[in-house]
Amino acid sequence: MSRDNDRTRLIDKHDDLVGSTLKIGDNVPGETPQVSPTGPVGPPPDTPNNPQTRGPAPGNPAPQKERRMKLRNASMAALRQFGQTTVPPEGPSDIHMLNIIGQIEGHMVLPPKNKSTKYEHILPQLMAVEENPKIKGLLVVLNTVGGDIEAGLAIAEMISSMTKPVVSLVLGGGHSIGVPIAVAADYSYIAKTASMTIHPIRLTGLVISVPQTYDYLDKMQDRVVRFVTSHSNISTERFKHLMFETGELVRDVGTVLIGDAAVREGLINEVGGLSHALQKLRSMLNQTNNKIH
Amino acid sequence: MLYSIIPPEIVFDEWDGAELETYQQITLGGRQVIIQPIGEKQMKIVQLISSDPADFLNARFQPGSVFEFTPEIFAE
Repeated sequence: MSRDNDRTRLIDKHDDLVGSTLKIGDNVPGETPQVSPTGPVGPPPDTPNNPQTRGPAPGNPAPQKERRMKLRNASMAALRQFGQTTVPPEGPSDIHMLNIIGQIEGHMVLPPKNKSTKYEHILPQLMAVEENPKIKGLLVVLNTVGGDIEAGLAIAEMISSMTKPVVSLVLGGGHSIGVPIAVAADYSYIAKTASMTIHPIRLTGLVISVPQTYDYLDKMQDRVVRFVTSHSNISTERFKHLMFETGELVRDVGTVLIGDAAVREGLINEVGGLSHALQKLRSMLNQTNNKIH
Repeated sequence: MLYSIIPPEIVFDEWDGAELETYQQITLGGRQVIIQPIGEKQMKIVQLISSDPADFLNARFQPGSVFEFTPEIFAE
């Protein structure tokens, strides 16, 4: 019964959404009822005048029928407008995904040419995922060049303190402050071609009125090192060694770990892709379900 | 303070992003979207911000999708 309610609510929600779509459809004068429903992507043949072609709807049939028709008209309007198919909305997924891309933007707004992930977007989403009973797990996809230390650590701490299963997947790159976010998940994957750069935090001279002494940088660095080593299988010594490795990077110290190198170092759990990450998440969901019942 | 592989001089490089400055972040149908206004009555979706993967299957929220500014949207 509660499932039916959910479904109804979903349709309600969708109706709200397509309200504006209907407007666009209605702008085409007198066309809406004549739209042929027999297109290659259209719903099964069914005219508004012949509702009997559909099976008897459970519950209160009249409003539901009305809703269905509304939905159908909406998708036809979209078809007219864009000349492309619409994917039928499936309803919310029980696994949500956080996409962490570009620079991780924190206390300072970066110039708009930087692609960035803002912590004011991410933190409330994490909270919502944790609180929403319909969301069972979270997939964090990383393709980041690093960014604000405190924003990155805040996201990493939020992820690591969630009760719901979280799996991370490093695609492309998970560099610098992306490393603690990747290891914050319960289980982490890295794509074969993805890379992670581990390098020291250094003075940039950009933060005004912060005493950036060597000690200060060292402390900032320690926060990252401590988080990474306590959430992965790499030792502090080894991580710092990678951080200050010479000869790996041109004109800089540090290490680039590609694919299984990150797994060998104990930073990441496994090499894999989307299907692996989702399978892992599903199996973790089953385990937590078994524990409860 | 940045911890990034991109050098700060590139991150903070001055750049004339005239188009980007017209972008606005609004709530549309309960979702956060970044839009670009087209004239006074319409807007084009630039980016959808959501953690629900199903939202990304909704064609109405695809980047490039055009919505009209209607009183209904703001009444929600």
